[in-house]
Amino acid sequence: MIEVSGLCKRYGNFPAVNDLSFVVQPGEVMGLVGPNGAGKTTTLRCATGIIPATAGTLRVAGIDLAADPVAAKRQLAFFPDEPRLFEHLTVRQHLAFAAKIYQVPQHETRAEALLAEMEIADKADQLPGELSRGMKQKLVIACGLLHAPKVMYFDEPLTGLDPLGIRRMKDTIRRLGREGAAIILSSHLLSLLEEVCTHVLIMKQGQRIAGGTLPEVVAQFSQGEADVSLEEVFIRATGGSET
Amino acid sequence: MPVLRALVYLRLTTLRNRVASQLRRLRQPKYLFGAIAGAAYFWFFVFRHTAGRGGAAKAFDGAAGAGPVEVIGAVVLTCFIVLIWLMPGDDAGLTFSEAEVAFLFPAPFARRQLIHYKLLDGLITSFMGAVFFLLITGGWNTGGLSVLRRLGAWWSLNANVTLHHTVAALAIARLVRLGLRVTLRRVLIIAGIVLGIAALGVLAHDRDAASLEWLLWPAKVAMRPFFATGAGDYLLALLPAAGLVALQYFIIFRMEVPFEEASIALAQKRGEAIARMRAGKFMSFAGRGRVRRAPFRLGDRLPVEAAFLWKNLMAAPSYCNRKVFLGAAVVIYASLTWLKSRTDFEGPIFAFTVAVISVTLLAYMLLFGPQLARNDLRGDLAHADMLKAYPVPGWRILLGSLLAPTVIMTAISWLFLLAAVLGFVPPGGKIPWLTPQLRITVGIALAVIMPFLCAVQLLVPNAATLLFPAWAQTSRNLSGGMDVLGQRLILFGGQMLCLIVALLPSVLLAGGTIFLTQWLVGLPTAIVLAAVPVLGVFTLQLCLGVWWLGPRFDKLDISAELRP
Repeated sequence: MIEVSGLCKRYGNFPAVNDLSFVVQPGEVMGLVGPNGAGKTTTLRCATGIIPATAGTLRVAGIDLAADPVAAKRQLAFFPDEPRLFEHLTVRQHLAFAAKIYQVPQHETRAEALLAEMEIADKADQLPGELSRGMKQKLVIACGLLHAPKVMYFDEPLTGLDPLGIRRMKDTIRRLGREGAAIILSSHLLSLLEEVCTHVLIMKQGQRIAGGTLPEVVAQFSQGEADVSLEEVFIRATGGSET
Repeated sequence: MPVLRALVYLRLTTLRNRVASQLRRLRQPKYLFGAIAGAAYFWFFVFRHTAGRGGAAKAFDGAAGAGPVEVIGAVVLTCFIVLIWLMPGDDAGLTFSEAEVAFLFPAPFARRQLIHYKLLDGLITSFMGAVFFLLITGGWNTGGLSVLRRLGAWWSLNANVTLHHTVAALAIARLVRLGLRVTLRRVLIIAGIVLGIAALGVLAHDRDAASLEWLLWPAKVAMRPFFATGAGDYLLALLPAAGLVALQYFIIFRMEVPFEEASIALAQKRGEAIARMRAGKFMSFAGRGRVRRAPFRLGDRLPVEAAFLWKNLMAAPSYCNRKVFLGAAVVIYASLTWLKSRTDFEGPIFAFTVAVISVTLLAYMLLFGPQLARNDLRGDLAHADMLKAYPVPGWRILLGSLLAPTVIMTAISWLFLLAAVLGFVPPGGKIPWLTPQLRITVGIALAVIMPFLCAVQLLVPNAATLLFPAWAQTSRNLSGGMDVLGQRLILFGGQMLCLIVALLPSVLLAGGTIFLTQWLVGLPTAIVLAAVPVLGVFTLQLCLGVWWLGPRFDKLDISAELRP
């Protein structure tokens, strides 16, 4: 479970996120949407403990991120939009490195299963320079899933993937949700959110504009109209501009 | 400790894979020849001079004692430390790579463990640096315990400097959090240094200057192991140096500074810089997100080559502009004219020295300038597919690409020429035939030739890029190694050879013209006459080169050559 309460993050005098609260229960996939500069990435970074929050409480699987960051981080995985890998570590060695970080005992069996699931088992001894972007993305996901996290954060997970990769990524996120993970997914692709997410949170200028299940949010902005798309809801909610 | 295990695993695996991949690529002839050339260079220019006699390491022997070398070394190190505090901007932080940020920041490590990781990583790097310095200074050849002694000395120096970088970065990050801006910090530090020097000057005036050497104390402690005379003395020197390492480690560990945001920003900057280098833009200082003023209006009637000039001038360092060039010319003219008029403090000698330095720099620029000014086809090679899609013949793209670095190199060479013409008056009238008229004539003739000379020079590396694109790719290879060093040496040697061949006809023609005509028309006019055939030869070489290389660009198979 992810619990965010009164999250504030300021860069100097600039409030990137202001008094943001939400909860994502196990099995829920929450889509985080908003115009550029809305504070989505900052929210994700704070919620993963990558950067400290200025104020507010963040709990990951019931553990306070500020009080016990190590225990909280053990429960989560963060998948950034750009796969950043070590140039001189092979695919398999990346998994071994992740296993060391998260102290996963006898990780080899699980690593092989993940490589097979991500369809990169035949690339296990190759360096990142020899992989396509999609394969790098798959490797990052395999590394993140190695320690069986209960909480996951995806930042623009479909960037650079081919149609088949997109299909597989959607299936993976849906399956992880079904298996009981609490997932936050940040994306500009509203169609992805409609297909994958159970809940949605719309942000603008660091603040929550709307949130809830997809039908609830749609109902909030549909003004009685039928068949209003999430895209239309987004435009109505954000006023059609970044500011 | 998991963080330590992760670090050791990462370091060892990276080292093993890097060596393995470097050995594997030796199967390709270009890397094999490069490795042979690199090894030969190291043997003939580094190891051979140090083998058998301890080389430069001898200079640091205890026998040399704690004399002026130690004081000079301590002064240099102190200046370096001051620079460490002055240089970082607002985003000073611990330096992590983008991959480290992605893997370690969300990992179950406390902030202090990440600091441990970075500090231990720095100490390992310091050790590897110590081994490198030991090799190039010949310390490896001194045998037995002496090798360990030198290794310890180099390590303690490297480790102290590395840790001080971190101390400064975290302290600055803390100051920034307290609201101290980068400019104010620099002003305060510089003001403090100036005041300190002034106060010390007053003190030194009244007392013995040697009593102020305590100011160099930290630097001396870090350097002292180099100058120890015996085993006991060495241990007495190494212990405080290692203590300083431990003290700095402790200070960093105790500093509760959130470094994550600054480190993420730094990692992104480094990632972008690496991406720029991989794209061949070594000298791209344009700055992130900064809009550059167009160098000229790109009117409809201008030829397509002007568009490349326009684009590449905007990609050049921001100080490469007309205002800076004209300002520099005015400063050079005014200062050298003033210097020549001040005979009361040997002004003409200073002016002559400036002129000699300018001529030397001009020669260096002509030799090495084409390696630095790369905003031509070499910089655009990563976008070759886009360039090839333009409805423009290859020769015009090549010509257009050559223009920007030619303009920049020409402008710089004109400044050097101006200084040389103004200041080249040997003191005491030692060269009576070097009249002002002759200096001006030579200066103008060279100034006219210079754009063509620069263009021909730039044509050579661009030709190499088109003819041997796989070799030209080595400039983007950031992994380093003996083979890559060798490849660069081979490319540079090839360029020098081509230049000599290209310059030979011009030199012979110019010499012949001056020799034949100076008796009839006098030396100044003979020089002007000599410039005419030289211009003709350069123009012909340029036209032939562009005409021949144009179709090579059209036929360049990007898929075969440019993919890694």
